[in-house]
Amino acid sequence: MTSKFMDTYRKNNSKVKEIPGLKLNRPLYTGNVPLGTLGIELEMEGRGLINTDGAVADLSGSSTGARWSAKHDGSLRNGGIEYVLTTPCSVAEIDPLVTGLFDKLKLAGSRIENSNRCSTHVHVNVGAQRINKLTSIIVLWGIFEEFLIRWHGVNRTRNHFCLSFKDSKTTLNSWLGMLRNGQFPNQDSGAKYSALNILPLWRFGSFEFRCGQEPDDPAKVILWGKFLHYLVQYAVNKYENPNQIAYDISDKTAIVLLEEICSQDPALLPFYKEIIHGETDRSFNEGCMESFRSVQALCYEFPWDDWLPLIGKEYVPNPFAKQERVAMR
Amino acid sequence: MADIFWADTTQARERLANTVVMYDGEPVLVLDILNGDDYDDRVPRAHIQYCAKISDTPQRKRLDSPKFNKFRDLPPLGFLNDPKYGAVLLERRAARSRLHGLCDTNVACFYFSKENGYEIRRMDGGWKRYYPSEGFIESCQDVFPTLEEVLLNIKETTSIAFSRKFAVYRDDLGLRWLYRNEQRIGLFPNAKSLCLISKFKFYREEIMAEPKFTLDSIQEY
Repeated sequence: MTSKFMDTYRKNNSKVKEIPGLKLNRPLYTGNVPLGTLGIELEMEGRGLINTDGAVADLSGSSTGARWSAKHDGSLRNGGIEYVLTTPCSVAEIDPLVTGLFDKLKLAGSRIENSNRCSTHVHVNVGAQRINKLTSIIVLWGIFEEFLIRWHGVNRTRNHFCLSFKDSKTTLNSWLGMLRNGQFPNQDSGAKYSALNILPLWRFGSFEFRCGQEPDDPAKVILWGKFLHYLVQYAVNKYENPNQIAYDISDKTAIVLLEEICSQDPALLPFYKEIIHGETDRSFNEGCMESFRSVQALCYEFPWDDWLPLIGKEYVPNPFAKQERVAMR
Repeated sequence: MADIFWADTTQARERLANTVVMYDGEPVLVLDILNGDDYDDRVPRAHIQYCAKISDTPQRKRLDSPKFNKFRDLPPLGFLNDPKYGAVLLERRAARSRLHGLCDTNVACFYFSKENGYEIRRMDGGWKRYYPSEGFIESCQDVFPTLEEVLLNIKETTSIAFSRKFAVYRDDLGLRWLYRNEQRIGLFPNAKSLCLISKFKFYREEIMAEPKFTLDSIQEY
């Protein structure tokens, strides 16, 4: 007589190990997903900056209705104003909105004198994405992060208001912690002060990219906003499984991936050249590979192949259930 | 006006005073920023103390010195070796703070706890304890015992780092575990090979690329 124990054991333990306390098909952001994709914040200092919403009210996104709002920001000095879009704009609207704002400032006789306190923050709408694609966005960003921050200049490099994954593991550990234990990132953890701030996901449905340089030049703001839009689009459209990025960076190399991202809009090709400027293919690929190693656990440590069918299931909230767990701690 | 990188002396003081930055490749504690009005060249000075010589007389260095490299270089963090606690891990934390240099607010410190086996615990006030230590200076200079030395000499319930990223912890049963930062990823069955935990086999390439990992044999379990 043979023991049936192993059959029973295998059967009992064949279930995919999920994230404790987290339904894989449940969107992490449960609010309404806005139409536009890009939220922009421009922190400026200078003389005679427009400080009322009314003066910029006629600038409006044609499809989303996004408008600028002028806000005082305690972190700025010397007449500093932060211009914030009231609602996300579409990628097609970024050009007229940003150029329009700078034109308004010029017409009003404003003199922009930005300091190292100023920066550009871009929120990219990811509210509709589930945990696999959000992870892919983080990994893809992590691969190029060092080179992208470098493009923004010395003021943003190793800046303690927008630390990279190389500088600090706070953001990475927050996301890993969620994948391992189902524990949502602590909103007070300081993770906000990272080049990629994941915390707005639970509040606005967006990832915030904080490493943008001081907004001196509208063309750079536009380029940066477009690039982030297409980086996220690329991750979302291509990487259902974050693990695939690991294969692609080995197989295709990082420089090809970046070229593919930038090829989505011809306006980004000069940006691509600026990012790789001064690097050989080899040095760029090696730099990206080193960066990838700091985020590779996101690709490899979790059973994405097993999780994907569960993630893909339609999510139907139970109207009779107790109020679902609040996303933020 | 000299390029001191910061907007003015006040901002430089706000960002740097009582923090550790790099000067000419060495970690230094910035005691204060001195106003440029007191100097003929009008350039503000950083009043600094080398972490390696913390009891020496502090020195004054021009804030625009290229040796500060616009304050973009900060001491590299990771494991260091301490005579009392063994391998101690320093990690940068993103934090709401005006301070640019490294300090207690933005550096967390961890050590291997004897009570909790392989778990590592946070040490309060660790940064202040370690930035002036020999172990920190050696870690900044990337000076560590070799892996062979570590594996042959490590005692039970102690830990020794062999690079900023990797350390060995020997538990109370005598097993030698490999740690990558705070994560236990492998076991050394003997002094010549590493057995990677299956879940972490993807670290193989990274371990092989680490110059201080000198073993030829990596297996997976």
